[in-house]
Formats: sequence, structure tokens, C-alpha cells
Amino acid sequence: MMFDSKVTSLAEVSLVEISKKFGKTLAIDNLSLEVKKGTFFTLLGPSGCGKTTTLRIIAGLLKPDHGELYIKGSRVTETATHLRNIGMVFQSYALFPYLSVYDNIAFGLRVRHFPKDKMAPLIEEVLDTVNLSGLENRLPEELSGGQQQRVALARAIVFKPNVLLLDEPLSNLDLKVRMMMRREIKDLTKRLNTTTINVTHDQGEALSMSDTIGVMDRGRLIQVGTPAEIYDRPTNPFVANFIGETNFLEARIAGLEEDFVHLKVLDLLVYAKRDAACDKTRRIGERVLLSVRPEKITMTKHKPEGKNVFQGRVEEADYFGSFTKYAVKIDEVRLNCESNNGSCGSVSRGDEVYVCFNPEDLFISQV
Amino acid sequence: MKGILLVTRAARLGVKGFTGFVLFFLAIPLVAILSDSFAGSKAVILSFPPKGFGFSWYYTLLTSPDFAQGLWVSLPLGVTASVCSLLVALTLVIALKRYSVSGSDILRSYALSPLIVPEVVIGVAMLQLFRALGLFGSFFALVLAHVVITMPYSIRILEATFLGVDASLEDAARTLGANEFTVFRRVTLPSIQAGLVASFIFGFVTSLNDIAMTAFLITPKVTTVSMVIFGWSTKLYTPILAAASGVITFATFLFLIVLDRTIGIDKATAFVAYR
Repeated sequence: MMFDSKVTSLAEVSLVEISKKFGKTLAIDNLSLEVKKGTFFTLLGPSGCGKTTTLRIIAGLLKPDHGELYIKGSRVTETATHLRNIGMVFQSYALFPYLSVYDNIAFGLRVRHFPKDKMAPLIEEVLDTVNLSGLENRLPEELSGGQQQRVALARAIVFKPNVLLLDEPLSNLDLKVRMMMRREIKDLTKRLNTTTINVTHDQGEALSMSDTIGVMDRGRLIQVGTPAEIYDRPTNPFVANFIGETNFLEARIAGLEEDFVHLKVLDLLVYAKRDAACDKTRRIGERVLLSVRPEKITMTKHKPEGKNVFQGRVEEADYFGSFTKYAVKIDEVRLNCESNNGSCGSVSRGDEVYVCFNPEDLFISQV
Repeated sequence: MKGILLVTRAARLGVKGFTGFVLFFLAIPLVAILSDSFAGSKAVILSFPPKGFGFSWYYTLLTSPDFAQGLWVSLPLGVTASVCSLLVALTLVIALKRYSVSGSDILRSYALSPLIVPEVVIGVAMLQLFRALGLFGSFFALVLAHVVITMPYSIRILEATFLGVDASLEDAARTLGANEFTVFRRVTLPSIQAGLVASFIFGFVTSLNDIAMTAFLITPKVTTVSMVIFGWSTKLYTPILAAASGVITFATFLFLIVLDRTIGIDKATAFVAYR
């Protein structure tokens, strides 16, 4: 029980100071993480950031070099995989090729000596849940990618696992099926109130499916937050850059007010909202990196009121259907902007425009 | 220019001729010996073309007490040796491929070493060892020696087999709640069946055919069928040799058909070609 005191009661899965080396490479660097019951949690990061390694450690398929792992409050760091009661969906689905859909799903129940008479109705129910009724006698090779994915999902949830682990389950599907499966998996885990840990490098998938996202880079967990927090208030340039597009501007702090930070970007004076978490250690004269999302920048032909209004010239305009991407040059500063088509009047290349952004939408980080 | 053309043409002709020559010698002795095996009973010496026609030499062979005695050793020997080397190789390959046990790669090189040590040397060494242990002339000694020479084949075939096993299937079974034994029985074993069959057959054939090492370990009482045939070739040069060759060829053919039906001949030969 001494170990358990570290873990809050709400956490279904807790990683405490986990490290893992492969040879001399540090794959996971002192990672701590808590996932609350019923949460859809996504580990997001570029390939090689350690997200799959983290997932495999939770599954028990890899042993950490240091640190502790708790599932439902009990310490499972050394517990064998088969005793952890987890469901896992693999990137390749890993369906048993010589077993039918029914037998694939029954695998987890049979090794648990689940009563035979209750097995068939349960499997029927789970097949219905994943919309595969009637396909129980097919072999995996006779199914489409999306269907195989559903079998893998059904197989992983049928025995009601403590936690569902998803290892890039959507990456082998084509775009349309992927979009559909995103919604289905999200709905399913919500309906069953399953604690889910998903691994992906696809930011769109992470933002649209998750309750909480943990962004990883080079073995470290950089930021944990809701999709909106991660997107709107990244605490680190890596996060800002990896999730969505952003404009990075080199700036120097020119003044500090109670509510605002004054920044000089070349000759432009920019106001940023002063944020206690972010700016308390800032000094005048310090060089920082300023970032602003393209869609937070508004473009008008007439000069608007407010702070951070600059005049510039449209250098590029790329049409994307529902929106257009612009590059606007203000003196020597280039800003990428995005605006929904139909919302403001048409702006084309060479036009003189005013760009404007809110001090709250700026984000300051270390150079 | 014309000179170069002539030279290339001559070279091509030479290569074609040599290839034909090799192919000719690949097939002709076999054709000769097989046709000789159907020689009539009056043919007392191995000669081509055969004199007469009949199955009498097959009859003589199959009723020969020497041949029966050899078979009585060779068949159980081949089965025991290849099953033993299969089991040892399987544990070694699992240690190597699945658990990266320290030192297992050294053990692998050690177990593969009979491939580079001349069989004659192994034979002499085994002879001395078994004499010292008082095992010389026993069936058990032959089994031990044959395990040594069939082991490299079993290891290579199983290694190649494991390359084709999807490790994520084993991981999936573990996450579904299967312990290591169940994972092996329900997932690994069905995936390596073909390799097990191939390993058994290659081990059996290697054991059945071995002469060089076995020659040091036999006694008049405990001898293999290959040694019996080899012994005949120095004493009685009759079509019984051809009939014995015929039996072995047909038996090998049968094995290849079984192999082809179970795993496919291409895959089986690929196992052996793999290093």
C-alpha cells in the first residue's frame, strides 16, 4: 500500500518516472502520466518519439528500466501481460489468420475459461456493437481493412478490459474509412466507458478523438491537456509547430505592463497578453519566439480598431476550397494567414490589406 | 571487329557445350542405374544397357537379411535423431528469436559448427569418445552422433521459419490473456508447423544418407542401410546395388511429394538455402 499512496484514486492507469533504454538510446526519459477512468487519452508525437514504446510498457510487452506502473491502483510493473486484463489493438490488427472472426473474438474468453453457454450471446452482442453481424464465420483474409480493424476492436473489448490500448489502429486505412472509424471508436469507448490509451502521429486524429492529449518528443512527455488547450495554449514551440500550422517570429521584449507584454518584431511593436504561467520570468531586452496561428489572424481592407493592426501586401493566395491560405508581407515580416471563403470579401494577390490579431492569441516561448 | 565476334561466338558455344555436358552427367548416371535396377535375374554384373527385364533384383534386395538389418537400424535412427535435433533446435531458436537469452548466439554458432568440421574428423572424434565411454557399437551412440550432424539443418530451417512468424500475433495473444505456454501452443506452433515438417524430413534424409561419419561408428551387428549398400559396392558388383539406389530414389521422391503437399517444395528448399 505504500506504493499506492503516490497514485490518486481517480487514475485508472499511472506511470511513475518510467525510463527505457534500447542499447544506448534513451527511448523513454523519466515519463510520468496519469489517465483517469473513462478517459480517451492520446499519446501524440512524431515517429521515434517513444509513444509506442510507452504503450508496450503499459501492456507489459516491454519492461521499463526504471519506474513504476499502476493499473486500477495496483502496482503491475512486473506483472506478466496476460494477467493485466488489457485489450490492445495493433497497427497490423494481428488477427489470427487461421481462426474465423468468431474464434478470434472468442480467444480472450476461452483463455479466461468463460462459460461456454454465455459465450455465443456475448460475441453476438459485441459483433453487433462493431457492426459485423453475420460475418462470424469469415476468415480475416476475407475481410476489408476496415472490417479487420473492427474484429480487432471487438476482440480487445469483449472481455471488458481495465484499459484499451490502441497502437496507431487507423494508420492502415484509407481516408474515408479512417474518418468513419475515428467516430465509431470514440462513440464505442464513450458508450462502454472504457479507459482508452491511443497512440498516433496524426494530429487531426488526436484532436478529434481525445479527451486528453499527451504530446511526446524524444522520449519525454512535453505537454498534457485537452485538445483545445494543446492547440490554443501550447507551452512549447515543439507542440505549437507539431500540432497545426503556426507563424514563428523572432522578437525582443521591449516593455512589460500589468496586462501586456510589448514585443519588437523587427520594427513592429506587438502586444501580447501577459500570462502568469508563461511570462513571470521574462525580462526586458530578452529575445523570445513569438507564435500565432494562421487562422487567428484576420484580414480586412479597411483599418480595424484595436491592438496589433498592421498594414501589408498579399504576396500569395492559395485556394483550398472551403478556405484560402495567404502570405502577407508587412515591412520585412511575413505572416501566413488563413480565412474561410465567404466570410470576408475576396482578397487577391497584390492587394493592400490590414492584418490584425488578438493579444490573447499570441504565444511566447524560449528561442 | 570480325575477330571479336568470332571469339564471342566461340565462347558462347563453349559455355553452351559445357552446360550441356554437366546436365548430361547429372541425368545419365541416374537413368543408367535406374534402368539397371530392372535387369533380369541372369544379369550378374552391373552393366549398361541392362540385360533382360524384371523385378528380381528388387526381390533379392528386399529379402536380403543385411538390407533388412540396415533398415531396422536406419529407420528408428533417422526418426529418433531428427526428432531429438528438432526439439533441441526448437528450444535454441526460441531462446534466440524470442527471448534474446544471453549467450544463445554463441550456442547457435557452436551447434552449427558440424557444417564446417569435416565429417571424417567428427567420425574419428566420436569413435574415440564412445570407446572411452563404453558406448561404441550401441544404437544410442549412433543417435547422439546423428543428432550432431542433423542439428545444423534443423536450426537453419527453424530460424527461417521464425522469420515468417508474425511476432505481433504472439503479443496479441498475450494481451488477450494467454500465458506463455498457451501462446506457444495456440499461436506459435500453428505458424511453424511447416518448418517442423521440413526440419524433420531434412534431418531424416541427412541421417539416412550419411556415410562419412557413420562409417566410423558401425559394427557388423549395428549398421545402417547406407553402410550396407556401401559395403556391397566393394564386394558384390551386382544389380542389387542398382535396386538399392532405386529404392532410395523412390523413397526420396515420396518424401519430396509429402514435402510439396505440406509446405511446397520452393519454400522447403528456401529453408535450406537460407543462412
